[in-house]
Amino acid sequence: MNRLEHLPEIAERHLGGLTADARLMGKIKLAAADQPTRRHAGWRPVLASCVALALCLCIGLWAWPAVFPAAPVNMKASSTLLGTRAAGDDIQPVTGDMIRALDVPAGSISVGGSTADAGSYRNLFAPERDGNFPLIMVNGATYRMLISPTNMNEKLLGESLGAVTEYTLEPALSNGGIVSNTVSAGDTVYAVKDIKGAMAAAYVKGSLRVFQRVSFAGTAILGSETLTDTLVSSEHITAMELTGAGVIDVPATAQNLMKTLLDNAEYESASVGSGDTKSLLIGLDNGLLMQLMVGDDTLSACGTWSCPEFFEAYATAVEAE
Amino acid sequence: MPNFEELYGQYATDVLRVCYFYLGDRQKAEDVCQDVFVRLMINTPQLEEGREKAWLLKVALNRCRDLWRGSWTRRVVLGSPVFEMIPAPDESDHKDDEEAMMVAVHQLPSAFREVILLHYYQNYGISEIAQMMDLPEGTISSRLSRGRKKLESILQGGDAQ
Repeated sequence: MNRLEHLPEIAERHLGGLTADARLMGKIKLAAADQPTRRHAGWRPVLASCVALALCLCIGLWAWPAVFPAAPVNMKASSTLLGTRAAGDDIQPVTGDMIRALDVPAGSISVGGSTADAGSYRNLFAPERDGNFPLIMVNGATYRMLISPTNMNEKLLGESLGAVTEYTLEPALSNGGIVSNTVSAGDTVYAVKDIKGAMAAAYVKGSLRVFQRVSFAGTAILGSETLTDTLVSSEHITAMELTGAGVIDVPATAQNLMKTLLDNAEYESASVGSGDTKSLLIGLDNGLLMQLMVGDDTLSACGTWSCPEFFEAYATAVEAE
Repeated sequence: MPNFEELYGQYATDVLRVCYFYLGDRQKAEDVCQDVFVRLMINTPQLEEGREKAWLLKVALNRCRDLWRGSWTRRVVLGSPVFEMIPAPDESDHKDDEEAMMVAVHQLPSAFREVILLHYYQNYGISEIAQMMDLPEGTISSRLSRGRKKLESILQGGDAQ
């Protein structure tokens, strides 16, 4: 890459005809002079827009029941939004045209709604309470409870990881073993079949809940772990949904995207962006969903990983669909 | 701080070329350059002496990034036009390998393109780029290293992804 050292001269030769001239300066001065004027004269269009918006809202509310009759939450969806189905049912790859059943609390995630909804932000992580999110720590690896599914099918249970040795509301202060602020002491924690490391499961108040591997108290990956150890390999992926971008529900495309992520992601830190309002939902072939929070070219759950290549590839895939 | 005309004379061409290198669209590059200097005129930020160019490039790259990412149809709007060379009139002797490298830099994923442009084209150091982009120095070093590898792969006929 010696030529890179000469980039300034090369660029000078090849972009030498591109200069900021007096014409552009004139445009800038005109635009700058126009700014305050536009600010003062701006109330009329704003007022007109508000009136029009209010009018549309009134008409919309009046017409809503006639146009969209009430439907049950699990209505049949013709859209191709990333969905879930009851985890543990007969395991088949989820494809775009399948009608999917919900296994989430009403209102917690909207799946199978309008296509206009595609790509809006959804958060699968169970919310914090008492200063911590609901979690299980298994020998230093932390798993956070997901809101979906609310009761996983037992068919998906993998091997036992052991019983909870300590129930505490301050898991960060515990000394190791299997610790939880949600699962009762003595209850068994299981791996999820075929995705050991990325997910765990345990009974919470009689329901089998799923937990996803995340960072906690400044700890993310352990030892020589890689991103693959905290997620799943690409062959288990059936779909993805990236906030603001849309859904990829062709399994082969989603698997290629996952491969791009796993091959190129570089570990940045153990911290996870708390203010992120974008997420990547990953649909698995067993019906479960995983989530990564999305930042500036980064993805995070168990640590923050930089992967510009993934976002470029996702953009290309969305455009190609 | 130097006045507007002085800053424009000293840095506008650099800002314009970096934007063009980033976006590959002359009209959009001029729009961004205009936005940046309008912001300079309107907001009159208190810039540290000697840091004026860094501020202008930071604002310009933020704007370029917004444009690049703002729409998933960006390749239709921005990326599709072929990244064409605009040589000075007396530089008609094009060298293919130089052009290939210019195009390859333009094809890099945006996060790598930014740091390569700032480091190799505008000669900023890693700590200065880290400051401009509000990122840790380690991240900038890593992106530079990965950007170089990616560039090599593109030049050898590999994929930009």
